[in-house]
Amino acid sequence: MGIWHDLLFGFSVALQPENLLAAFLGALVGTVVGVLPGLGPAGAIAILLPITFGMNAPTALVMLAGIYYGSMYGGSITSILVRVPGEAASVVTSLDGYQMARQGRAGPALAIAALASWVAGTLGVLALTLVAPSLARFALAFGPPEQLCLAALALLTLPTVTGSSVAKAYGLAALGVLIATVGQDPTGGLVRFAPAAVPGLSRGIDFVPVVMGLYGVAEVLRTAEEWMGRSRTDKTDMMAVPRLSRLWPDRDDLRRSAGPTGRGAVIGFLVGLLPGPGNIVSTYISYVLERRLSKQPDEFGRGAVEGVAGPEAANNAATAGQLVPLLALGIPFSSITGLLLGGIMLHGIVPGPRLMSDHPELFWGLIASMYVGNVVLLVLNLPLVGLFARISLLRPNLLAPVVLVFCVIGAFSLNNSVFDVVVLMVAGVVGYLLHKAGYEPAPLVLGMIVGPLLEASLTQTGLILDGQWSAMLQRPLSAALLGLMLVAVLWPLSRWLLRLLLVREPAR
Amino acid sequence: MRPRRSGVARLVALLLLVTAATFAAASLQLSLGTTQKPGPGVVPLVSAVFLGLAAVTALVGRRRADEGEPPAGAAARAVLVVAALVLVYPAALAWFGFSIATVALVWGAARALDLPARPAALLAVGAVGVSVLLFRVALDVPLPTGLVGF
Amino acid sequence: MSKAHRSGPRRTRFAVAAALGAAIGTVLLSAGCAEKSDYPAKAVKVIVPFGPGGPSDVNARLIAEHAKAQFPKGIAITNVPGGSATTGTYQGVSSEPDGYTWIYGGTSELSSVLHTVEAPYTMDSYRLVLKVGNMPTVLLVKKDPRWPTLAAFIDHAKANPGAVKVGTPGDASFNRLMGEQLAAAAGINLVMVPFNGNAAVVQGLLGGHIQAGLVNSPDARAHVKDGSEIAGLAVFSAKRVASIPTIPTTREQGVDLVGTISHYIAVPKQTPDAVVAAIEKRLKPVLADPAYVKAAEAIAFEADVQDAAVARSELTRWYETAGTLYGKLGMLKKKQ
Repeated sequence: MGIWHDLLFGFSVALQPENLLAAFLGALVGTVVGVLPGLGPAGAIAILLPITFGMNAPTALVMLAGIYYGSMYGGSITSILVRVPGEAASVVTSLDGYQMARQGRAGPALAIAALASWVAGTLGVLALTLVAPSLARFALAFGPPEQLCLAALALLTLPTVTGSSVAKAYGLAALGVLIATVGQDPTGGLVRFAPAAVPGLSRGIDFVPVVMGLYGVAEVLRTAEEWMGRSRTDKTDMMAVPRLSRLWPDRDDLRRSAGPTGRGAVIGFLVGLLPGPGNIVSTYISYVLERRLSKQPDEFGRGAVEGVAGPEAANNAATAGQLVPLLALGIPFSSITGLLLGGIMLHGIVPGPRLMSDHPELFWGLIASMYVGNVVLLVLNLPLVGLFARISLLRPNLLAPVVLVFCVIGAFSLNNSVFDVVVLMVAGVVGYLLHKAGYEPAPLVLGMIVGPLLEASLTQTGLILDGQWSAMLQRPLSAALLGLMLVAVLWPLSRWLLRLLLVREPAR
Repeated sequence: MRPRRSGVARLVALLLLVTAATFAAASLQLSLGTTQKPGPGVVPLVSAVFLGLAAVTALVGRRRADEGEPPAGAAARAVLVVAALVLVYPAALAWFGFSIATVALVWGAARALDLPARPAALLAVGAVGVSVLLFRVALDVPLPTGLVGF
Repeated sequence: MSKAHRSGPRRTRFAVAAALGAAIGTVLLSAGCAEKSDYPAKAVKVIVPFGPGGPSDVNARLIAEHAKAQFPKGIAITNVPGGSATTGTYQGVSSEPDGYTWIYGGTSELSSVLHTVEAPYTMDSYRLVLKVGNMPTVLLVKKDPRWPTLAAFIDHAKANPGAVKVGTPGDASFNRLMGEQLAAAAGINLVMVPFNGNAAVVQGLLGGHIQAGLVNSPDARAHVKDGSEIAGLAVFSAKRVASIPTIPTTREQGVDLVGTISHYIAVPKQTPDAVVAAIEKRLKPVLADPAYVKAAEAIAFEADVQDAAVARSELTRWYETAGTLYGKLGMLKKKQ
């Protein structure tokens, strides 16, 4: 009874005209910055912070949060159309989304991404409504030793996203961790691997230019090869193939997406709760899980609609999950929720564990506005599907050069630094070579994201446990996670051994 | 006889091996710390070892279906031209500014992709014009101006 | 040279035009210098060397918001994070010294960080305009009947050497150095656990993974209200902080150790005296404006306006202290 009363109160706040407008504006700006290169939600929130001064606190928070979850919608659009993930959370979406677009199914891919985002976003908010305070307590139980286990578990189980060579996948994950170690170490501030000859390196290598290079620029190089490798008649054929077969997903697409969306929402929300880059990691988990569950795992990476629905659902549910610690405890677990915290603090409200009781209009107003905002996003995005899908029909030799400009601006505007453009371009050439050699770069991105968490929690765990590493077994959560890790290692190993003993695989 | 690994695969594996060795050597210069306080060299060293192992596996293992052959003929030329363009671009960006460098980049890439000179020029000027308007003028992103000034 | 001779007349005209241009330029420039009262003639850009959302950013934005009367052309905040805040600070010190780019810098990036991080500037690369205020270090603990006060906490640490884990926002952070000083002064062994920023320390504390944490006043504020599981044992300042009045100071409890991260407005070294004076004249009333002071207090930032000389001596003193501490910890950057 209580919660419905509170939620109704929230809607009475959220449906006030100025808050409705704020949710709409936030969702719109979020979608736009998700599409525009480089200008991520952090940048957009920073630009809009001065405007929020004039608003009252709930209106400001509603708008800023709208930007945050709106950007998760927008981020998938470019990764599907031109294989440029605007941010790390949509890397996994590009694996199958871009393949769908190349097969003329950009429309269904975009529509499924929007629908899955909406369903999962709404489910995430529902979970946030019902269980926020109790789950926040649970999330706190994940201290440094548990975070260390989570990071290691992620690196152990998730690199095999695409099912290519195991050695290649783990190699790239390790490379990603190495790239992330360049610059200052996450807790000590010591600068590593930055020779004075390359001044930009001491600040570290940002993952946005790396991602845009490995995917966007590398794809331009591949287009050059493919396009110029064809005869004139072939080129007209290549143009003819990706006709938009359909604009909307058919019954089969929807049926196949339902399960991944539901599972993605659960994974996203739970992983989003935990400290660390939950919205990114959850997309990997969802993808790996869906490939395992699928009856046609070979379709993954070749345009499986499940590979779009699951990860998109996961990263949108994760945004709701990441709000739990912020709203229930006043602690941001991620940099973007930290930004939201700053946005609230500008209004003289310092969110703490008592936010819900001290400022119910803020708490319930925001939650109610997220239901509204997710509907706004769907209404906003579905009509655009047709427009965007046509981009995938552009001639490759017109589209590819423009993608380069897109990537350059994205990389540069991140820190206004030419060094990031250098990183972008080098990553592009490396990405092309990697592709030629049969590597898929998603594990590298994972390594870059998880690496700093691994390092920081390693140091903290050592100090907290006084160097008695066996004490990890006495903490129930870390012990359970270690057990999971053991299973993750032994299971494939035993299967491999069995196969080696029983059937000699014929040499290919 | 099992098929040999493709040239690109071996090249990449070698590059990864060199990267691993470089990082390993550099992380040995850093403190490995104690069991109570692991030093800043631990994670890089372990990762470098993993990368090295993976690279060796990729170097000696069987050839896999996903490894391609390097392009030849017109395709190779196009790839080389675009790769050269993107690698030179950052220097051009710093020297000549966003507008000039990017017009050159887009024009060059479009030409390499067989677009006739005039449409390529149109595309380059159009794309750069729209970006400058959208990003520099409307969104206030300080796109580099370089020595020439725009 | 011969080329110049050949195109003689044209060359001369060029030279005349150039000289004329230079003359006009000089006249305009000197006029601009003489007419100082028209500062600010355009919007001021303030570089905050941190990302948006943190206390530095929020406070800089509060100042910008309350400065609209004194700076009618506006103050725009630019966030330039990275490199322990040296990236943005360097961008600030190397910008045009015309008074239209300020650095909103804190104690660490303006002084002590130069001990540990290779940065392309020194303490002589900037000149200070004003000190803005403080956010003192606060010792937080998970509420526990065994340590209701600082003295009890110290006794506990003394009886159980190495058992008390204290979270800090980073190994090279200001608060870590305060912790080391506290341990030395009290003769106790505290294990400093580096986290990634203040919020992560509070998180570790709430989860019970560490027993204490050293954070700055803005992060302490929300979590020490009554009914919370976290208590503030001591604020490292001479007098209590208005927004967290229940936390006693270190001095009240017999520990003579104070320390605060302070914020300063700085400009590039070559900025003319007249311009600095003009900024100071216009900024002072903003920082003294009760509306601003109240807004800052809400985020537990303590307004404390001081002139450049006081600010400079504070920073120099901290630079020396930090040098000694980092030296003891073996954290000084290698001399090149």
